[in-house]
Amino acid sequence: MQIKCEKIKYIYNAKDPNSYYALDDISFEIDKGDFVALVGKTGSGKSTLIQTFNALILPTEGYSQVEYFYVTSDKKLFKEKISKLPKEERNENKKQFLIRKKVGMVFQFPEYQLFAETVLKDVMFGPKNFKVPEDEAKELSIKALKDVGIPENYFERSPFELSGGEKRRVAIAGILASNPDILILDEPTAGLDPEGKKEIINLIKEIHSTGKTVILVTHDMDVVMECATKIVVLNDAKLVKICTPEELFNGNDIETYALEIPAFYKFKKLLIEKGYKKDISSINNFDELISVLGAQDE
Amino acid sequence: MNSVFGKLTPFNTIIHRLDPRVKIISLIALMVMCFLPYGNYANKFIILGGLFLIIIFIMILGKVSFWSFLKSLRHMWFMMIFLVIIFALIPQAGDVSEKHVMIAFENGYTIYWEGLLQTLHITFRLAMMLSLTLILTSTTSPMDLTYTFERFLTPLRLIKFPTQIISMTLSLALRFIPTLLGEAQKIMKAQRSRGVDYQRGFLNKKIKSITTLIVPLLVNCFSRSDELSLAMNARGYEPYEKRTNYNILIFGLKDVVAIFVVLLIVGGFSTLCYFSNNVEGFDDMINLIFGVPTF
Repeated sequence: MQIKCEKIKYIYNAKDPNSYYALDDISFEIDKGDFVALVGKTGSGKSTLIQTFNALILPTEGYSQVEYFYVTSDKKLFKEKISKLPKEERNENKKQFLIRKKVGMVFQFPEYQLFAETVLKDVMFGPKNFKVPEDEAKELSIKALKDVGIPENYFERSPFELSGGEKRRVAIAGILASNPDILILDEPTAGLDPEGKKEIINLIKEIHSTGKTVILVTHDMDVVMECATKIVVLNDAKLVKICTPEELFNGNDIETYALEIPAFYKFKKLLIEKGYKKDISSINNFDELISVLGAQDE
Repeated sequence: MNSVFGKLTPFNTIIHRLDPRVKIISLIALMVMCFLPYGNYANKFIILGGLFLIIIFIMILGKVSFWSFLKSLRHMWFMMIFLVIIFALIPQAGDVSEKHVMIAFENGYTIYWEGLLQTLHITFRLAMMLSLTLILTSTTSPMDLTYTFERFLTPLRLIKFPTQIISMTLSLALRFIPTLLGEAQKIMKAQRSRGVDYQRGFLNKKIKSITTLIVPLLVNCFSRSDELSLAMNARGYEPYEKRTNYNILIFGLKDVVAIFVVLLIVGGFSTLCYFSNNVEGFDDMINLIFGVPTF
C-alpha cells in the first residue's frame, strides 16, 4: 500500500448556509506502481480527493496516508498516527510541504501556473523549492524537459510564447523535475487537440512505465480503458465502485454514474446486439476483437 | 472572500430584502454618525458603544456572520500598534497641564493616556465602518450595488458623463472578483504543489512567492478580458447606445420604514453630539448614569 484513504470527509464552506460534503466517507488503497483512474461526473469530489493526497487541503474527518505521511485536520489523530513512526519520519510529517516532493500534482490547465522568464527557469523552480542544489536542479529540469519532448532550443524561450500543448508539457516537466514517486494529473488532456491529447497520453504511459504510481482524473473513458489498471468511481461525494476497467465497462451500471462508454465497448455491445455469433464478451481490446473478426471472415 | 468585501450570504432577511439604495444611503449616514465629535473620551466611547450596539442588532437581523467581522479586524492590529507609537512619540497639542500623564521619563519626555485613547477611538470607529461595510456586502448582491451606483450617477448624464460605461465596467469588475479569487486560489495550490510556501519566509522570499501568483494571474486576467470583450462585441454590445435595465429597483413600504428608522438614529446621535459639545452638565449626567469620570 502506497496511498490510503481512511473514512475521509471534507466539507466546503463549513459553518455557512452553502456548506456541503465534497467527500463523504471515502476509504480505499492504492498500491505502488498502480495506474489509477479517478472518474465520476463533475462535482463528484475527484479534484477535492486528490488534493488531500499532497496536503493542499486537509480532510475534515478521517485521514489520507501517503507512505509514512499522514494528512488530516484532526490534530489528535495526527499525533496518534505519527507517534508510532521513527523519529525522522515523524519530523518529516511535521513539515507537511515535504509530501509535495513525493506527490507531484499536475492541475487542470497547468499552463496557467507558468510565470518565469524562460522555460528552463520555470521547470527549475520546483526542485529549487525542495532545496535541490542549483546544478542538480538544472540537470533534473533538462531531463524532465527532454522526457516531455521539449526541444533544447526552447529552453531559453519565454513559456508564454509556446503553444497550448507545449505549455502543458512544460508544466508537466515542472512537476516531473522534482522526481515525485506519485504523479497525479487532473484532466491533463482537457482543451487539447487530438494530436496534443495523444502526445500527453503517451507521455503519461511512459512515466508510468518507469515504475511511478499514476493517478489520473479524467472524463475520457477511452483514455481510462487504454491506460488504467484500477478505476475508482466517485458519485455525489461518495465512493461507489473500485474495479478494473474491464469490470466497469462490461458491467451495466456505467451510465448510472454519468460516465461515457468507450468506443470499443460501444462497438462490442453493438456487435452483440446485432447478433454476432461468436462469444466476444471476454474480449477487452480492439486488437483481440479484430483478430476474432478476421478469423470469421477467413 | 472572507474580508470586508464579504460574499453575499444567501438568506432572505429583512436587511437582504431592502432596496440597495436605502442600504447605501443608510450606510453613509451611519458612517457619518461614527465620525461626529462627541466631546470627551468618556462620552465618545459610551455614545459610540451605543451606536455599535445598533450595528450589532442590524448584523443579527441580516444574519451577518460575526466571525467574518472578527476576522476582518485581524488586519487592524498592525495599524493599532502604528497609531500607538505615533501618538506616543508625537508631542500632544494643547495645554500640557490638562493632559493625563501615563509615563513621565527623566529627560522630560512624557507619554499621555490621550495617545492610547485616541488610538482606541480611531480603531473603534474603523471597526464600526468595517462592520457596516460587511453588512452591505453580505446582504446585497454585487449586481444590485452596481445598479444602485448607476442610479446615483444618473444626474451626471446631463454633462455627458458616460455613466453606463462606468456602470458596466464596475459590474464586470465586481462580477469577476470571485472568478479571479478562485483562479488565484487554483494558481496558489498549483504553486504550493511545486513547493512554494506563501505563509513562511522572509520578505524577499515572500516577494518571490507572490510573483509566482501575480504573473500567471495577470496573464490570465488579460487573456480573459480580451475574450470577454470579443464575446460582448459578438453579442452586439455597443457602449454608447441607450440601454434599459433588466432589474428594476422598487422602493417599498419596508424601505420607507428603514429610512425612517435611520433618520431617527441620525437625529438621536446628532442630538447627543450637540449636547456633548454645547450643553453644560451633560458630562455630569453621563457620569451619573454610567459612572464614568470625565476624561
